[in-house]
Amino acid sequence: MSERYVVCKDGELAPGELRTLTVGATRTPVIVMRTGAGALHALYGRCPHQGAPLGAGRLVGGTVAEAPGAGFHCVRDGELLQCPWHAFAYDVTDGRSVADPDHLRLRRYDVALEDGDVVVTV
Amino acid sequence: MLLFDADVHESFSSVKDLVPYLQDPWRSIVEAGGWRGFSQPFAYTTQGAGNRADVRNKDGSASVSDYGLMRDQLLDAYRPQYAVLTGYFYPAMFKMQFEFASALAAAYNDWVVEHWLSKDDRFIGSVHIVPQEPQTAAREIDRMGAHPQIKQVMLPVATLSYGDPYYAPIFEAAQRNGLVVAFHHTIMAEGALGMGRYYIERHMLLPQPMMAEIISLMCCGVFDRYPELKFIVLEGGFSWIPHLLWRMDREYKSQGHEVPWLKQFPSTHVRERVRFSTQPTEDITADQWLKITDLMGSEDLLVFSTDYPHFDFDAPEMAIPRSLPAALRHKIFWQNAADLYGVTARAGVLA
Repeated sequence: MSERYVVCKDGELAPGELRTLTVGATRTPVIVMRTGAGALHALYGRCPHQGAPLGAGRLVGGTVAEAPGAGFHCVRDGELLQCPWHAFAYDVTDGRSVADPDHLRLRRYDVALEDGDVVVTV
Repeated sequence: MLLFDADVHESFSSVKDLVPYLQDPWRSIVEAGGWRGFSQPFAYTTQGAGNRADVRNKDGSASVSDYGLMRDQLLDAYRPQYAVLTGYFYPAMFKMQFEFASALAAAYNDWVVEHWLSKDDRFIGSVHIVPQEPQTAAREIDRMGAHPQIKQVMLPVATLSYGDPYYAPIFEAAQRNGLVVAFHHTIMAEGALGMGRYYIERHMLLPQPMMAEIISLMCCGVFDRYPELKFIVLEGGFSWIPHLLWRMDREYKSQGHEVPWLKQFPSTHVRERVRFSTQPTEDITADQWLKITDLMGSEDLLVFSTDYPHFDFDAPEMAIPRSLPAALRHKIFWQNAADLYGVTARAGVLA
């Protein structure tokens, strides 16, 4: 049985920011974030690796380079949620680990704007 | 559950914190900014700049020097019976001016006593020395070894090979004072081919110099010459131990005549007197953990550690598989370390 929770007003979550909620009887930790491009996403708030609080992490991007010595390019700025402890990174769109997508995955939740509020369904 | 944390890193906020503990001529040098501390020859690439990103002061700034924060995030959060302070300021990294380095080590020892050990009786302390001046190091071990909370000597691992008889006064002093000898890498640690080209590469290489130190001690007779000494290898991994034991024993059987002071199988020395911290644990299953334990031939070798506040921190309940046998978990979390350091559980705490 899912419930809807108001996170904040639309204008209170800036691009690149994330917000931690603890919801429901099971006190489920949920991270609601807005990417640099403005999209809203919501993921489970504890890292499946060692249980770190992902709300203390940050939104980062990835890197692309062809080989040692080649130029580095930053990609997907703000679309990866990085764990504050071991720096495992998760794709905010599907919750999958960047390095180990088939084995490490965060549950994702629907999040939307409703009458000026950011609302997540858990 | 009884818990022991074998590797916790306290730090000062600036080398100038040591000024009150230094005498001239060294005090004036530090006061004048003549030496500003060690600078690592690489950049950290994770968000906490080498630390957990949630190790923050109340104002949001990064912290590595706050006892109150360590108490909240480690001692009260996980409730270890003891946590061993191992520092990360190792004057052994000086490549010259060893008298100055030795003075810094002594000042750091006094600073740790006043700012950390005296604040919490859960802390166990380490003596920091400059091995390049072994006689001075031995005197410092004698000086600090009298403190009731100090139970080990740190031997920082970079490029020095400690089996060399040049370092004998250090081991003599450690044995004389009943202290454990601990090995921990420094920011100058290298693998067999150097540091590598990337930080990730260097971090993968860190077990290599630990293997090299054990081999050095073994072949140069340190285990046989100091029969009371016990050792702990910190943050160097453990799944390579079976290979090392087999390799050393195999070589001993064929070429032991070259090192006749080595009186028994190297694996026996290791099983009797070397312990290894678990962090950073490989992400292995309980079954794999049991296989490694079987291959090591002992349940007594591993000691849990968190490495707080560094980014590769291990959370006790998450890093060690819950489905390991309870008796083995008890040894890893508590008993092996309690035996090594000679400590007992506090009253009122159940195993």
